[in-house]
Amino acid sequence: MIANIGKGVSQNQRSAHLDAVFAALADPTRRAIIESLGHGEARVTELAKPFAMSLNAVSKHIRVLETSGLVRRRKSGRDHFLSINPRSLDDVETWIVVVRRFWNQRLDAMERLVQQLEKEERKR
Amino acid sequence: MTLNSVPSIRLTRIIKASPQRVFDLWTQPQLMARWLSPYPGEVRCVARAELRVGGRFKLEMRSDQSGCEIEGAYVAIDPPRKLVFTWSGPPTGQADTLVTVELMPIENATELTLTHEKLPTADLREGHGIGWAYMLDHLERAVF
Repeated sequence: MIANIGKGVSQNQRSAHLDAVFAALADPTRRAIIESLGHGEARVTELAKPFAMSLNAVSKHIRVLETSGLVRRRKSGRDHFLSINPRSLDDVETWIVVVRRFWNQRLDAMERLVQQLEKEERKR
Repeated sequence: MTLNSVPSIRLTRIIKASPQRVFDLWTQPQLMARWLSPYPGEVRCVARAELRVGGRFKLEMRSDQSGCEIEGAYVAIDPPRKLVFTWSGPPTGQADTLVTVELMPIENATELTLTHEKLPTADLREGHGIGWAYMLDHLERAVF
C-alpha cells in the first residue's frame, strides 16, 4: 500500500507503487468510482449501478484500484464495502510526480511554441 | 530526499531559443497564454502580468467543460537570466509555492533550470481543506 511506503522500501518499489496509482487513475471509470467513494463507503453493487457495464467489468476496475492501494475493502457477512484509503495520495512522492509531470508537459508545450514562433517569424 | 523533507522538484531542459526569447515566453502575457495552460484542446487562456518585484501575474483558463486559474507574484526579476515567482493553483492545491526559472546561454540555445519549491505537504493540504475531488480534478485535467 502506498500509505505504508517509508523507510526500508527501495526506490524501485516506491516507483512501482506510484506507477500503479497513476495507471489506476488513468481510466475514466476508475476515476468515477473514486469520486463516488468520495461521498463515503459503498457496496460493490451500488458502485456498479451508474455504469453501463457488467458487474464483472466494474469488479475488475475495483480490483485495479485495490491493488494500487487507492481503495480498500471491508467484509461484513456477505456484504463487501469499499472505501477510499485516505492516506494513499498523501505520499509526498506522489505529489512530486504530479508536479514534475505538470512542468514536463508545459515545457514540451513551450518547445512546440518556440518552433511555431520561428515559423511565424519566417513568414513575415 | 526523505519523505519528511520539504518537497521540491528540479527540471533542466535545453530550449532551442535565446535566453531573451525564453524569458519573454515566461513573462509576456500573450506568449504565456500560448503554452502555460495545462488543458488539452480548445481553451481560452487569458494572461496578465505586471512584471516588477511584487507585481502579480494571472492565467485564466476556460474550456467548455471547466476552468481554472493560476496566479502568483514576482519575487525576483533578472532578465534574461532569472525569474522567481510564487505560484498558486493547479497543481499546487492552491497553496503558495515558489518557482525559480534560471536561463543559461549555451551555443544557439538556452539551458533552462526550473525549481519548484515549497510544495504543500500532506499536513498543509489537509489544513487547506483540499480533498480528493480537487486532486482528481487536477489529475484529470493536467496530467492525463
